[in-house]
Amino acid sequence: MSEKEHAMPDLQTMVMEWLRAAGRFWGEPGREDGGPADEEGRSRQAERFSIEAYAAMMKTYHAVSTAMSEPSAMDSLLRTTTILPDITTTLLATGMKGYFALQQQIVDKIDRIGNSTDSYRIDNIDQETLRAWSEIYQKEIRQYFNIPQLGLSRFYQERVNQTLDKLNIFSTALAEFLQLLWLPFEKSYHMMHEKIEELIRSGNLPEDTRAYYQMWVKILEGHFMNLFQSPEYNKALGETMDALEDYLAARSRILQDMLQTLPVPSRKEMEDLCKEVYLLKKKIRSLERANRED
Amino acid sequence: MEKPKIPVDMILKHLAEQAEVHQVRVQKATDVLLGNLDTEIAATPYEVVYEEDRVKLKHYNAVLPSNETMRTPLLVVYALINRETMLDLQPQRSVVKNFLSNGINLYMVDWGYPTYKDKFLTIDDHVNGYMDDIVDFVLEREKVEQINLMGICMGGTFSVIYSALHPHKIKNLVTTVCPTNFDTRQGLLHIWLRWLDADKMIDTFGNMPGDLMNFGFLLLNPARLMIDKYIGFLENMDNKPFVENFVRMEKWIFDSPDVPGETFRQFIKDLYQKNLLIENKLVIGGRHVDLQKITMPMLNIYAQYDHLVPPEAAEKITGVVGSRDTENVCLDTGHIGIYVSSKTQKEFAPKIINWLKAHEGRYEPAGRDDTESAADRAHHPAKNIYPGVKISEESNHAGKKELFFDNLQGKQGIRNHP
Repeated sequence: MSEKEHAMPDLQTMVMEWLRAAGRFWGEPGREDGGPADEEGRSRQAERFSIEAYAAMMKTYHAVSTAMSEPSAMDSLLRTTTILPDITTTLLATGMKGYFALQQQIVDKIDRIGNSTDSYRIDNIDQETLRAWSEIYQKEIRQYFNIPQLGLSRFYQERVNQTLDKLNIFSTALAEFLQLLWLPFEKSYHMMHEKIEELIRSGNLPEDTRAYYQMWVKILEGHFMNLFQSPEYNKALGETMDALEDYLAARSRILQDMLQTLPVPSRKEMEDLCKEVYLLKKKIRSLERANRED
Repeated sequence: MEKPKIPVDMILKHLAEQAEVHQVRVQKATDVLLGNLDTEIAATPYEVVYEEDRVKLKHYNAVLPSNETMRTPLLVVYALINRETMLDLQPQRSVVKNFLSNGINLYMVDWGYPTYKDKFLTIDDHVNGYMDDIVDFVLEREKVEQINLMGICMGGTFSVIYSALHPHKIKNLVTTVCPTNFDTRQGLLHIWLRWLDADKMIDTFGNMPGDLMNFGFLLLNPARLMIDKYIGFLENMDNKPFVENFVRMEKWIFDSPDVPGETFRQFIKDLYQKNLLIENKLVIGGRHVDLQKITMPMLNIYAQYDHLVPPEAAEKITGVVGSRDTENVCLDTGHIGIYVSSKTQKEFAPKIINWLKAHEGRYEPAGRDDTESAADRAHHPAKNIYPGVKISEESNHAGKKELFFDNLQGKQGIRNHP
């Protein structure tokens, strides 16, 4: 063996020596005669148990270290170091590919969102924005809440997702409905401007400020009446109520799940009980009446 | 000098004057709002004489001696929406006080506040259950064979149904702002409720929430009910009686019990959507509600400007019942104004009182067969069989008759059957 070889032992030898040393070192506490447990009485039983558990763990580690110090295992270990860069590259490449695919999916979605908004006009931006958002939500976002859930808690998670979905739909419907309710105000302001211009032209502008308010509230009332008779309003009102009911029903299902963990009856149980009481009372009442008539 | 097109100086002068007025008003309003306000409603004394579940029966203490009180008691059935306290909202405009001071022996149903357990109660439970039990109780308590029945709004619809199913217990029927014909586009409510998915709503809510209904009522005219009304309050908040009455009305209007779910479902589907009552096809508790069985005299009062029960929804009933003695009266007011406006206080209650007194002496044999047809029934003209009771309008409301009829609009008088 050359001087250089003595000074710098090869990697395999070094690892083997280290593993043997580790095996000897970690093996020490595992010996039955070396533990303090033998010297202690019953009062230190708990301490002995923990030491025994530690000793068992050390034995396992010793066994693994010893096995790993075998030449064949060492070869396998050293080969790992040479293929590690390849593995890393493959993992990274797969991750990046997935990431870019996801990015592309999002870009596609944004592109479709752009197509949706194109079809709406800019001159009615408030209403169109809400409609666009509603359409985008229905086509592009809603599906995420319908991804099938797995495992033990799948039903609970599904109900949470459904509630979030229904909440989003209700919020959108409510925003559209409130926007419709705002229209009479906008229109009445425009009409007031026209009316004031007309009054200026005719020189009949009222001096009393209250007259302006009376004029405005009358116009506003007229616009509301027109709106309330319109099919658009009735449709929006219907959709909002539907969405509210769907959301409340979904929320109620989650609350029922929560109630199951508490020592209180659920709504379903109470409903069954109420119905039984109702039917019983009805029966008693009819019997009482029949008895009275007899 | 030519008048300027925009009288800026006058407008600004007016604004300045208004600012001063407002400042004084706010100072006075502070005293009013921070002072003692009498906003009590339903202050007329009564006694709860019957209770069943959430339902109570109020009997108002008579203010006249018994020999001046009508023998046939009047049972008032209010709607399940809002509360019967509206008939006794403020001392000066109380239908209850008006009735009592004119010798009416007054009972009133208080439907109470339905809870979740009441969601299964149907129209049948209200009409053939609670109402019938109450009528039986009153008949027994007063030792009479028939009562006078007065229904208000939805309570009127219940009263019509009750009178058709139990005609032998009802001497005279009075309906006020009572929806019976639902095939109309006059009121927004009729338009909106036509598409309402009552099944889904009740499956979701259990009972129909009072607050949700109130929100719907406000939406019927938001400009007036959500803006103008409160502007009016701000302009009058230095006026103590105005503030007291305003608060009383607010107390009543937002005191909205929930409506039992199954009753609401049935009311919307069978009445608002299918219009079964006026078409004489309604079935309640397995029994056909045959309007031809309503053979007792009927007074039907409604309001010209009612946005909830428009005239078209209320006036047709007298044309389809079996009675030969029916009268439609249309007052120049709205759904609530009919009971609380100062103008109609002089018309509404006096009309009912006089009509009931005029019909008090009508003989009605007890225990009559329900199936007896209208044609078979003998009609007996009004006669006063209680000497202590003044039945003529001239004697009791001398000088008011002319005014009363001048203020009425639309149809009135005894209808002639073909």
